[in-house]
Amino acid sequence: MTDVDRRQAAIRILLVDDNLLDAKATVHAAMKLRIANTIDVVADGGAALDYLRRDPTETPRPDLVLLDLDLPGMDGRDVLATMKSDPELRRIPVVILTTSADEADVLTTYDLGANAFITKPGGLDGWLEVVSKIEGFWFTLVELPPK
Amino acid sequence: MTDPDLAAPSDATTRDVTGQKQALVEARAKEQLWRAVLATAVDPIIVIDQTGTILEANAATSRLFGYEQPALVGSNVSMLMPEPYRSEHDGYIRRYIETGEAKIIGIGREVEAQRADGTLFPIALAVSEVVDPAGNLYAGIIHDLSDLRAATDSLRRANEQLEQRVEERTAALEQSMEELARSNRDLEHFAYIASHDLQAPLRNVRQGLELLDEHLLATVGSRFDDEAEELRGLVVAAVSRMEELIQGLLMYSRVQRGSSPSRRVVDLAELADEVVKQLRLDLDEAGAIVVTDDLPAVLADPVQLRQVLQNLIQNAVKYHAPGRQPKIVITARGIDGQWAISVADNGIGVNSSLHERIFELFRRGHPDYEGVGLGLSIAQRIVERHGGRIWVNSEPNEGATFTFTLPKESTT
Repeated sequence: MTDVDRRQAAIRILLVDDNLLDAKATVHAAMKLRIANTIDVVADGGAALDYLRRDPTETPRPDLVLLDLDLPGMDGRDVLATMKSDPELRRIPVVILTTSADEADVLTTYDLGANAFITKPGGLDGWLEVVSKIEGFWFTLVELPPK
Repeated sequence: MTDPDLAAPSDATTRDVTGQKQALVEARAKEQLWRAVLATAVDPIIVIDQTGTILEANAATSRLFGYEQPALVGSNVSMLMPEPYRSEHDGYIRRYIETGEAKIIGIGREVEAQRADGTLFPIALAVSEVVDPAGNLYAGIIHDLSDLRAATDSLRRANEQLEQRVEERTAALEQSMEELARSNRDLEHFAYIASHDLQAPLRNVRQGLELLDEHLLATVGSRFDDEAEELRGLVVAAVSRMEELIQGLLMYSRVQRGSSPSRRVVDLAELADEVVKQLRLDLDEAGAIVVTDDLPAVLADPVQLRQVLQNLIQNAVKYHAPGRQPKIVITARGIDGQWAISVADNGIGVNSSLHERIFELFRRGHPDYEGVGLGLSIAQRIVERHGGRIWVNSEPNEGATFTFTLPKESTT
């Protein structure tokens, strides 16, 4: 795929975050940078798995999951573990996006199969930078698995 | 025999009669003396023969044992003892006569005695043997040890109680110390969790404001009028201050997490250079110069020691005197097996009433200066964790010298 093809392909991102202002900031940055055609936001782990397990012929699976760790009920670690042990979902790259910078969280999530770990930035400029780098890496540089 | 008196030849008979009379008088006098002593003695005195029969028992014996004197004389002395000695006493005497093996005679010992009413009490017993051609006699002197025993017992009990109380107090003290350590750990944990969790909503406040800005810009076309802009500025300033406070608190609570600092040999001169480089912008802005003396290698946690130096140098720059070029001098000298490291400035100084209090948490040095009042608290915490202390020498407008100590042990 060329860059043009990529731009034309519908990039779909699932954002799992119960913090509405963080979610808004992420979406704001993505819109401003004209990155994804679709960013769907869910606020808890159960909803995330429901979203991922919908019939892919009707709603395509996301190209990337941005996953917060501290979620109500089933938390980000559970979602990650479930995804990575499910042959249907394990190929989808998962980027952990959390307030935590704890070494323990970094180690646990990579052990569970996380594809990247990012500590949430502060302020809109920070979000713009983070989202722009996510785009640069995952949607420009990296070859993603074909759907 | 060579005694000259016995060899004297004169008047033998006359002298003999006179001698007999005189001996009789003397014997009577001795008898009276013996009776008087016996009757007056505070302690019981008993004389027995070889069958154990009591020949003499004084008034004190009767008083102590609770028998009438007539009931004692003629009875076997074993009546004054508890079993099994009561039954075995005759045997003791026989064995002594046969073998000369003494249990008490000539030795004396502490034994149990028994009163007429059956009660037992401790006595000291001394027995001497009186040699007599008609059969040897035995004189015993008894001393009641009840009071002494009672006193000893109560002393022992008092000691035991004292020991028990010491044990109880020690246990209580250990428990208090354990509780204190636990509550310290809890407090540190709390500070860490609290400051960590406080960060998230604060980030949201800042983010929310910025999103609001963007939204207004996109919809209304302009941000705020002047009044709204000022209010917004005040909110942002408050948020920034809160962020600084939380950052400081986090840093402060992190200092004591973990049991001991990870110490290694740190070249203080190198570390000071690094800190000066790091603070270059602040230093240049104030036109400050930093002079470092010959600085030693010390044993410390490098990250934490850097924090101490950084906080002290930052303060020295921040509190410089208007119209005077800031000069900061870093020196080290050895005292009492420790390194005393000083950061001296020529700034506005510290009022003597604040010399101790400026190390308190959230204590700001001066109302006209920005800051959250944690720099010196953190420095103090780090220094104390390294087994040192920190203090300030200063006069208002005469500059301030902050000195901290680090143990010298095995830095070589």
